[in-house]
Amino acid sequence: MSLKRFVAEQLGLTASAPSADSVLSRRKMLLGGAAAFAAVSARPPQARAVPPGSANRFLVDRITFGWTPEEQNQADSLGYHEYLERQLDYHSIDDSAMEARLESYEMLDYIPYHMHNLVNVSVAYRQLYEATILRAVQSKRQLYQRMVEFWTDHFNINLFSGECAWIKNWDDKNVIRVHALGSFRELLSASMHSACMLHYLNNELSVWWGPNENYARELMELHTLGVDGGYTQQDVVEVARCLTGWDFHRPDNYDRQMFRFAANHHDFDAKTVLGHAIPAGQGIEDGEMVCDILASHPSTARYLATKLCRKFWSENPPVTLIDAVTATYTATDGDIKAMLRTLFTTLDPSLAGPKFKRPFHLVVSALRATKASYETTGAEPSVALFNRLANMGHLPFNWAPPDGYPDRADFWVGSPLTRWNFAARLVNGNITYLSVDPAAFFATAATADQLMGQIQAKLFGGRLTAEERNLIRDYLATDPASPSIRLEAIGLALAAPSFQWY
Amino acid sequence: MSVHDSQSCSEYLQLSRRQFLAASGGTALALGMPAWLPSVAYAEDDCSDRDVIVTVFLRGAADGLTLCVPHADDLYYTARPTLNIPRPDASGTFRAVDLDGFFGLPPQLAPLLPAYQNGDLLLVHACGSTDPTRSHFDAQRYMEIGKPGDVGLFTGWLGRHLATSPPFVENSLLRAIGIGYGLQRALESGPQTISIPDLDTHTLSGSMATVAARRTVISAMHALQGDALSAAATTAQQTIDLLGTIDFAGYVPEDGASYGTDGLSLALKSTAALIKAEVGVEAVAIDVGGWDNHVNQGVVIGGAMSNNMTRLATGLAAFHADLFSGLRRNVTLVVMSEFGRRLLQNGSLGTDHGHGNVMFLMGPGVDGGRVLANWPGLDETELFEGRDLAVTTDFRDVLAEIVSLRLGNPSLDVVFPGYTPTFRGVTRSCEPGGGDLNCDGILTYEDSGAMAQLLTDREAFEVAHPDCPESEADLNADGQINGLDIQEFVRRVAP
Repeated sequence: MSLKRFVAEQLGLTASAPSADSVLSRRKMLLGGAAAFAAVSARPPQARAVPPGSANRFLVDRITFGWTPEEQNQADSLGYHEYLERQLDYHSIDDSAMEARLESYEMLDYIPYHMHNLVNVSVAYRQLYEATILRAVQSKRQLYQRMVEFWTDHFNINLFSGECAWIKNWDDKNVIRVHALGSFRELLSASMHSACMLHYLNNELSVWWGPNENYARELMELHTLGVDGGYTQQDVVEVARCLTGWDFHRPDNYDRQMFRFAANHHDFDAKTVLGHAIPAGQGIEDGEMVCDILASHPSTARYLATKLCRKFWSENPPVTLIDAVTATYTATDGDIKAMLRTLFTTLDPSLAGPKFKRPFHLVVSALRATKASYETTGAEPSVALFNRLANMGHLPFNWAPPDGYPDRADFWVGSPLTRWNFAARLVNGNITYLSVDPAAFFATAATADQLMGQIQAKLFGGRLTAEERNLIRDYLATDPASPSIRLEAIGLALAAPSFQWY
Repeated sequence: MSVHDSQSCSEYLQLSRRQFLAASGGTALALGMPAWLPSVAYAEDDCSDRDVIVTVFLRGAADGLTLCVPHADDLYYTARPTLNIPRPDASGTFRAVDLDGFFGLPPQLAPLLPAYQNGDLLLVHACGSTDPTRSHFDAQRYMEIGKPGDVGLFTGWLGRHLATSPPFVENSLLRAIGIGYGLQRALESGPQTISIPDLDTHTLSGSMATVAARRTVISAMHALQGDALSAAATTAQQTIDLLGTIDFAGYVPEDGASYGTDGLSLALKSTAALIKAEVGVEAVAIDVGGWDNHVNQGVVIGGAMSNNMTRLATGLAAFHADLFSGLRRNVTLVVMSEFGRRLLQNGSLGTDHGHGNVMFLMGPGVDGGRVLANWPGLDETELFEGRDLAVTTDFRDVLAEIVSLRLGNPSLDVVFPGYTPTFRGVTRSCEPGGGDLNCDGILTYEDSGAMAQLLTDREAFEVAHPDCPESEADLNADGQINGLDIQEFVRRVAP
């Protein structure tokens, strides 16, 4: 509620009292003062409008998994647009250290056949968990990782539905990661050909004599058109018929659980999908046509644009921005990079409200900012960290229904204790294989004020409010030389309200 | 129920106390009126109108045609040739347990028979939301906001109920809990409402030596904010203290109640402990997933839905034994799901998304022991859009009656905006007391002295009026004798 009020205030819809709403004051600070609020009227979309200087901070917050001084320096030295372009052109970013770090996670490359030969599949999906976390923390291709997160939610698959644990690794590598910053049409097509998705949403058992509507419905409702995108129950039935026979190889050979089109399961009669005639006598072409119809549909453009704006701008993005990103989708045939470029270069970032960190984001941003050491291998991952994420309700690939983890503050804001406990356990050394080194973090700082200065600089870049700073400094002052007090102060800083938003 | 018309609890209680003092001519003062009128729970009976409400949401659209089988409707067996619960008179042991000659329970739900036979379990069939959506997410949202079709409403019906009701206990620290990692939409906007994954481990981690100091810093940091996060932080901190007083791990259920080890049973068991601790929690929301059975639905023993039903029955039966078989706690439990499933089974031994469904209500205030249904029939012409069980009872009729008569909240226009519910008789009504506290056969000002005595010195009242039932003082029929009855007393004596 207060977030909505805040956004409304930012948009000038309600009077903003000079209140102690420190979220507001943080933003003001971020923007270098109240002057930034003078220019809140929605400007017409303007290609490559140059945002003011503090916009770099906004961009770092939005396209990374957590602000760091190093990332800010890079954005400042490159400039807003160049930094954005560098992150969009992710292949050009040297990520060899990341790849080296993941060398022992060989099961990321397994195909389902290999996975089924494992004695214990948990070894494989733990590698997937850890690789997902490590990439979010350590990859230099931060926007790419954020987009992987976005599409993982969008094309959600629950690891523990049916045999998904054996096939999600393939989907993650070949669907989500290949196309995360590519063409939506190709991403959609890849997902439609993913055995894991077809299994998760039961399409492998959809046959001409008994179509199963589950995948067909979610394909339109969640993956493309949106629930108000203009399809009917009859369209669900027709799309289900088009996709009869889309399943995967069953025999226990190298093709196991790879996509196949089973013609003997397919409904060869004519269909009509969203007003488009699908002629009789076609086979796999029915489904390919459905992919094209859905990818080209204006509702898909708008639905994806809205969702991207909610992810990267604010929970209630202005219609002008959604319009602009929608138009880019249509003009570029669903070029994901182009949509993001429009999203970040159309409006003044000072218009955007803060977003609440989901637990995964909180965890990753904490590990980034504290430079926590994270010493694991593919054979010995940090199950303790997975347990923390599960305790917070946000372990990747564990959201059961197909709509993906919620991305609204209302949902997550109600359980702060699990967040405080993550922070407390991290600094306390209670998460196996992870630790924060107070000597490295605080360097030569000695007094409570100096120690506080390090926290302010390294975790917040100046964003911690004066009140929060005073409270943590007073805590440090009880015994500034004590390593445990110093660590606990970091834990308190990670629990501070200012660290929960970005 | 007009006594609830006032906006604020303490305000009207104070007002009624002044009125009462005036009406009783100072007698109460002479008796040494305490600073605050106490509340006397005269019996743990069925007549409270301030039940605790527990909602169990079956996520994924549970198949109501399996949960409550219309075994006397032949079309059910036609449409579900290999995915049905056989008639009660079928040969073999796997068959429906007849309830009323038309409906039956699947054998997996047989553990609920004692509750049903005791009149504590009501099934409402052909029930649900009239919105045509077959989207899980829209349908769940519509049910939880209590206004189907509204895309702009974000607060929940339970949240709004709490916001328009005075708390159970004054300055209540914790009024509602959503068991889970994020707050259920139904509870959104509820005051003193929080989501907790596990009630048993709700403490701040880290060194015990510094835990108090760290909690103080965290509290102070959040106190500065004044937003949703700080409200949740305050509630979380208070909840640490509150739940710390309850021994969840050592909780022993009553009457040999045997909970399972699955999430639902653990949540219901913690809820029972919480209710008995009487810390003022008024609403608990629990989710159970796994009901979206498009494939291999498995209604026979060992199947997917069968296992789900067994867990459901185990949890609910234990909860019933634990809370209602000895002392009958004032609790109403509701089991609901976003919509039912297609009448016709699909080609993968499952069912696709449907429409009408069944709701389960349990508690001493539920008029149970029956299946309430305006059965629409299963002929194609009788089905919703020719496919699905029709909805003949709006879910809001059921919930609104509970909110009004079991939760004592008359603000139905706020809880279910834009809807005029029809009460279907899902609850039992209470007999209000007559207020004749001196047992002279008539309600007059004379009775106020005896009433004040009952409130302030119960033993003295029993000595003075040994044959007068205390229930006479429960003028508003809420199972409690308190300031609300005084207001009702004043209203009746001096209208």
